[in-house]
Amino acid sequence: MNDNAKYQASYPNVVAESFGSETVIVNLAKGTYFSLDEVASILWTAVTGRAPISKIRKAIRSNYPQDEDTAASDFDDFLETLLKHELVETTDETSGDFVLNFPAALYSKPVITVHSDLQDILLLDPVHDINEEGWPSGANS
Amino acid sequence: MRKVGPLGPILNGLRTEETNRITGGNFLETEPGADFFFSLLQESINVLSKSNSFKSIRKRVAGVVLEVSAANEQVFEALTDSFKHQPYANEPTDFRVYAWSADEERNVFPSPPMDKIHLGHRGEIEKLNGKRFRYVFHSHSQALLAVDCQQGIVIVVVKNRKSLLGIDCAAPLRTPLSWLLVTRGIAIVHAAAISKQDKAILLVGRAGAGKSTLAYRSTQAGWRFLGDDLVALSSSPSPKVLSLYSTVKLWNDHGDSMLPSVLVKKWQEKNGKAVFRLDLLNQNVFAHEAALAAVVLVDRSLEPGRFERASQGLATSIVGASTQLTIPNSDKEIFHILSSNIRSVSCWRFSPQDDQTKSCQRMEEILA
Repeated sequence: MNDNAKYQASYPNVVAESFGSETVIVNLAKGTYFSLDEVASILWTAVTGRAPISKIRKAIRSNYPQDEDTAASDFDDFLETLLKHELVETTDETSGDFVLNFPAALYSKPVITVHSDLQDILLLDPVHDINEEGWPSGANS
Repeated sequence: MRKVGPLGPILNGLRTEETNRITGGNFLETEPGADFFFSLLQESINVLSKSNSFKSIRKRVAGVVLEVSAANEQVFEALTDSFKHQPYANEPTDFRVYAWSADEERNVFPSPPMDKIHLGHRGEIEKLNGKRFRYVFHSHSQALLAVDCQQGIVIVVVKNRKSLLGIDCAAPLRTPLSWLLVTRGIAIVHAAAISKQDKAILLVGRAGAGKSTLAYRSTQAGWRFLGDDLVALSSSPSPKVLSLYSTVKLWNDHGDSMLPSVLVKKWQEKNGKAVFRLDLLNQNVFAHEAALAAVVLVDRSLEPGRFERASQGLATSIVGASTQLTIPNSDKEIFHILSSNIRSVSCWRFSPQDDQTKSCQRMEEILA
């Protein structure tokens, strides 16, 4: 992973909305939904704000000196998940300053939940995605 | 005659003499753009309207004034039956729909053999669609729909008028309406909705969870029916649920046992489920709009009758996924409208009871 890399939400397929401390991300191209807890939401904002990864990792380490290696490693896993699901893409654009306002002094692992159980709903549209027999026969059934 | 590009197969259905007369014979050697093809369809409508009487209706649907005109009775009925519960409108028209069946004697439209064209999840003709002009092919009814999002015009060309028989929920219009409504800040989503005292509950959940049954049963306990399967949401100036269709989709035996058969016409019976029209029931069961007050995830994994707080993010995810948001341009806005609505209200998980009266009482507690 390139430490100087900067990322943004993948355009035009990824959209995110926050609900208080929770964030929902959608990859429209794949139809996958992701829920981010408070810590993950803060990291999402930092990553998609085009801050260099090295800067974010450094900020995480300084926020959690007692758990800095774990926190940095968890961040790398988090970033890998974002990349694996094509939620972020690299950018050359420069960013402004960023601040990581973590919710508590005690370290907590960022949690990103993939709603893969919603795929069935997505893949069978009750009105349109039908075969010649008509609804509710799926197009591939 | 050589035709190229994604419109080639469509244009093959055109009669040469008509095409040449309308276009001056200028486009057949090159790929017509989305805008040009739309103007061709529009000109065809103009030609047809001189020798055919179009039946029209103007109704307030999902917060806008929709005018539907069709050149034959069957097409007109198929596209407007599900709006019968909606009020007539005297205000200026927001969106116009012109429909024509290509099996008419004087066919200047293409029969759309779309097999060589790559279609998206909803039948969108992907390579052709831009911000203003968009095309979708509704495979079940064999209808080609062309949309001018700027002018608010939809042109529907049905391959055969009989292909529209048995179509539920004015289905061919769903995607064009979704594209047009989103330009007014209104999103069509997959959910059921009911209201009481002008406050609405959005019922969401996986297929078979019981949201449609709950929606219909609630009308017998003094609630009003806003919609099943598809409803519209508006977030400005405040979250609001808007009615689209008057149909409810139920397990066939449930529908037969619940609904008065003399009043309700079934539209479709496939694999145990059927679409029932409620517009022939007392009009008082319908609400046309209501302020969104709560979102209920119908979830039978809980003990029957139990309800508990749910995450707004999960509610948004379920509605978004089941609405099949997959088009970057328009669906980002739909997701934004959906999120704005759900962010403003409380979300609950709820497992309906067999005793629907008790279920409705529980929902009143949620509403309170």
